[in-house]
Amino acid sequence: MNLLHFAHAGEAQSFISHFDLTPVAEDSIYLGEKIIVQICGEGLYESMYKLGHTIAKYKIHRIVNIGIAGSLIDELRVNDIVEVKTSYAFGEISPKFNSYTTQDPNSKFDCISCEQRAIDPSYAKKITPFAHIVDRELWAVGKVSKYFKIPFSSIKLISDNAHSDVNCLEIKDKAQDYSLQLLDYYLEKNYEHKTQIQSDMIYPFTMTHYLKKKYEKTIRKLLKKNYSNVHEILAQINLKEITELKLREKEKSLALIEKIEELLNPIDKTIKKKINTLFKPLLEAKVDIGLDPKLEVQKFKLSKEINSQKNIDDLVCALKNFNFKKVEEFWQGDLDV
Amino acid sequence: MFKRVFVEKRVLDSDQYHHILKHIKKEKVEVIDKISDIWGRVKKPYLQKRDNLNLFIGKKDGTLLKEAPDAYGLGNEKHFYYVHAYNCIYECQYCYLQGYFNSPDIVLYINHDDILKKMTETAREYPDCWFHAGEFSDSLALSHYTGELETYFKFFEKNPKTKLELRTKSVNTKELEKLTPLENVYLSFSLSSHKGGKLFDNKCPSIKARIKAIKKMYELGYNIGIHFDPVVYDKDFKEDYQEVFDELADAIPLDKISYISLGVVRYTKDVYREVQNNYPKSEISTGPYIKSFDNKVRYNKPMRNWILNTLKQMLITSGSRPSVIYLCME
Repeated sequence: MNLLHFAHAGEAQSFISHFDLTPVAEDSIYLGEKIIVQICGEGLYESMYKLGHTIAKYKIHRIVNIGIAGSLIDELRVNDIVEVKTSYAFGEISPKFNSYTTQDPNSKFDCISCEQRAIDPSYAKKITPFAHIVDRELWAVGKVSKYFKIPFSSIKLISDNAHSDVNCLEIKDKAQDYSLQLLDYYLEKNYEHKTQIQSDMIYPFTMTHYLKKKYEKTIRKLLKKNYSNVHEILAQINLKEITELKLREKEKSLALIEKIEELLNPIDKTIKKKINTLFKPLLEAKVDIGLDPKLEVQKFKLSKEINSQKNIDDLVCALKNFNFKKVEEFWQGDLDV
Repeated sequence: MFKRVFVEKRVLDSDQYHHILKHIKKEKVEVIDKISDIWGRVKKPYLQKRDNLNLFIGKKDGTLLKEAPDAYGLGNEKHFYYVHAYNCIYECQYCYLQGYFNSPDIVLYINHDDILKKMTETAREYPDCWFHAGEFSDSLALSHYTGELETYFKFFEKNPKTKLELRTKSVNTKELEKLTPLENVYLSFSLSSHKGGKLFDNKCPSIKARIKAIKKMYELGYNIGIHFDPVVYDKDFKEDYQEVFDELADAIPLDKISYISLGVVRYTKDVYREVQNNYPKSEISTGPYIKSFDNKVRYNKPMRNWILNTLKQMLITSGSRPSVIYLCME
């Protein structure tokens, strides 16, 4: 569901009627099948707590902030409509450090949300180095979106130039016109359909949440390499062989993950093989080897349960056959590749 | 190139500013009190450098020289880098700058006299020390804008024991071509495999173009250093790097290269997070990384030693002098 966020009812009016939304009076919310409109009022704090409340209540996939903004640069003129890239904020006397970036890859303009209206040129001069347009809310939308991990966008109609004296009443009079223009833009840019999240993940076995995450992470990394889809990756693995193993689903999943990890980083397999060769005498004597899993620390611990003289003889024999110099060489990069 | 240009009031009358101004005629210049009032005050996303890159021109206050970390160069001399610019016009996916500053906007500091004064003091204490340019910005990419190289060359002419390294991925050698090469000035180029260059060195000159520039500068008489750093592992890395070593050997005799550094890709935790955010579809973050002894994200020790030793041996076999090859940051 798209949550369309507005500061004022005037900006939202065309959206409410076009999508035939039903009011939920106590929250300034208008509900539809795929869209919610929320009118939060002016200012950062109003938006912040009201949006948080709505996101907790409804299943929101994307937030779109829609409204008017003042231009801080000559390039942007009154009635231009832009999508915002990054939102910044200006507190009472200085900018706030954090910024939030929208999901719109083609947007070029940044917006700074101010705690006061930017209606006099001296204030505009102070905030101009940081952004191209100015509003009162967007930064709060970005902050809430980040917290809830929901993508956000912003469509702004330029209502005035902040470097000249701004007449707020004149802007208010044009609200209906602005709302229509913003609706046209929203429909034209097909925002309604931007919420669909495609997932092409395939799970050959039933996986626990932990294994699923591990599997997905490796698959995603492989997709960054030479593979274009999951089918292509799985085709590289003898899935049938794993399927036919008389193992539980969890173990089959582990075997599958091991295979795709090898596919991702074959060098890891080489390193594992090398370790097994180096420690073979000890492994055969059933000695547990405590190696640093990151292989950063050049030392290891050995442990073995002893309950007979034979155990001791086996251990002595294994240690005699163990070549520490070779292990040192391995740490120095001798992988025999 | 720049969306907006901000200049500090206190440098408006300087020759250096007017030199830069010749190149930025098209952009509107906005006068500000201090760079620090604006630059870095808000977290500007790194990738804004693609279409919303601003330029700041002013004076650097505070630290002008920084001592380089251990294992920075060859030998036991002291190494310092001087700070005359922040940020870079290139966009290498592994670049630590993406997690270092809070803004990708370029800052050019033009108080070179102050930097040189500090260098004079340092050279008095450590006469055979090295000064490096290019730690926070490519040392040549904007050198035609900034025009400071001649001033630095004069200093190094007067201080023949002290050495200068200009680190670059640029092929913008025009300013250097106007100057007379000095014994104690080293021009060092960062190279990788062709595949690595194409995949990860966004907006940089190709490896081929860089080798061409190396040849040109060598023939003009410049000392050449090469940094194969960072090496990003690929299953074909040996063949890929051998190809570059061969091309480099065709361009200049490998035994004439003053020094060659080798280093594998590594990131601080913050930079690695930025890399993942900025390049979510890139191969760069698919490697078998671990958090190593210094909390940096890198390959495990046997793997990095294997890569570095393999490349070192290949360089020696190709004709490089073993004594000039060093492993960077290891």
